[in-house]
Amino acid sequence: MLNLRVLLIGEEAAGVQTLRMLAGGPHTLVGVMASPAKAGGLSPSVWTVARALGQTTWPAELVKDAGFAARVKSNAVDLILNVHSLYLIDGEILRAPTIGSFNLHPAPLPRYAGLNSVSWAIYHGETVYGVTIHEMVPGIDAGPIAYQTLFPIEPSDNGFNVSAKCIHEGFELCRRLLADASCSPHAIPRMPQDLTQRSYFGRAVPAGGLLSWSAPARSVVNFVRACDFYPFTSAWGNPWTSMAGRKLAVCSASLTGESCLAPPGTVRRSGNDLQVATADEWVVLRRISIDGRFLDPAYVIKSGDRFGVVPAAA
Amino acid sequence: MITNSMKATEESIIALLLKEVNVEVPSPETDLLETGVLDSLKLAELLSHLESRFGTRISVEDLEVDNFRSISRMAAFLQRRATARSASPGE
Repeated sequence: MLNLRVLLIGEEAAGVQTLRMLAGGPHTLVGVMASPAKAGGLSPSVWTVARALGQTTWPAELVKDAGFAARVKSNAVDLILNVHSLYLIDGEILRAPTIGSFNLHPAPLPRYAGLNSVSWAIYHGETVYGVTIHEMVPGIDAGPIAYQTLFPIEPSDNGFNVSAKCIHEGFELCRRLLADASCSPHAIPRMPQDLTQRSYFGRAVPAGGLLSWSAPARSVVNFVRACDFYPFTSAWGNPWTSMAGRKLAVCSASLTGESCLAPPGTVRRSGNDLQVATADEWVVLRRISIDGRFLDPAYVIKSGDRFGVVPAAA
Repeated sequence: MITNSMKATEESIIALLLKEVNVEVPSPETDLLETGVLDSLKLAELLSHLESRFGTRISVEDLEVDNFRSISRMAAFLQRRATARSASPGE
């Protein structure tokens, strides 16, 4: 088994878990590239943890600088592993390691390349999702696939727990990459992506974040689920609606399966639940926020109220 | 001073961490955040289990990092919540 010299470029919880695996494992962690720590946040960053573990750190932004390739070569890096870092890495740096540069992407490539993949998948009502490790080429998320795992998205899943599944499954894929690479570089699979099947998504939020009660209930709930990363915030925020000129964010909602004839946006009480009419069914409103404060809907909304309605997208 | 109640809370949290989040902690005083033993995902998962186990809602406003830096700090936080609840039984 080869002792690999690995350069980790990482962020977020996935980056922290990968860092700890590499720091405690048999391979040499040459260094860690991450965003230097900012104050606040729920837990320490990759940068902070790397420093606490005594690792060499470089600002992740340096991956844009072709000159950093010389440092990769002088450190005899075998493998670059990119985990949840969004910087585009210069081609010279990608080519610098002796074995290759690999990216863990939280999506079943070639589908859902780009940004906020988990949210887009839930928004589109996907029931099967996955995570991929691919070799990095200059195109975004376009390189040959080394490993991929698929798993179901359940109707009750939201952005948080699908992301958690991606992190858990992705961690195991990283283990496989390291195991194969340490046997032989040729043991790493490299299957070209069928780019005719590629879907790519950028930063834009669907409908500017506006929730349309005129849409089918399933679409409404999918949008809410796609943005639900509680206790974290999603890159999309939460979808919003309005009532009496006031903007409310819908943070959690669920299907009832009960058809409705009321005008979309109409509110009614059913037992302990507040429900809102959509194009076809009532939807339970579970949690809202106003001006950044989470609230029980029952405190601010009552039966007979009506949310602002916009036409559903074609 | 560590009371029996606090110790029992600490032991419950240690057991939860091991069983539900797959994290083994050497002592109640270990800093779980500094070296990433608890990353943001595992912390969020732990919070969900703490809510269920201790029958309390941990709101976003409660999520001060220092409340969850070690087992002993989590236990102290939960004890404070329990004391506040019993002082205001109507809430």
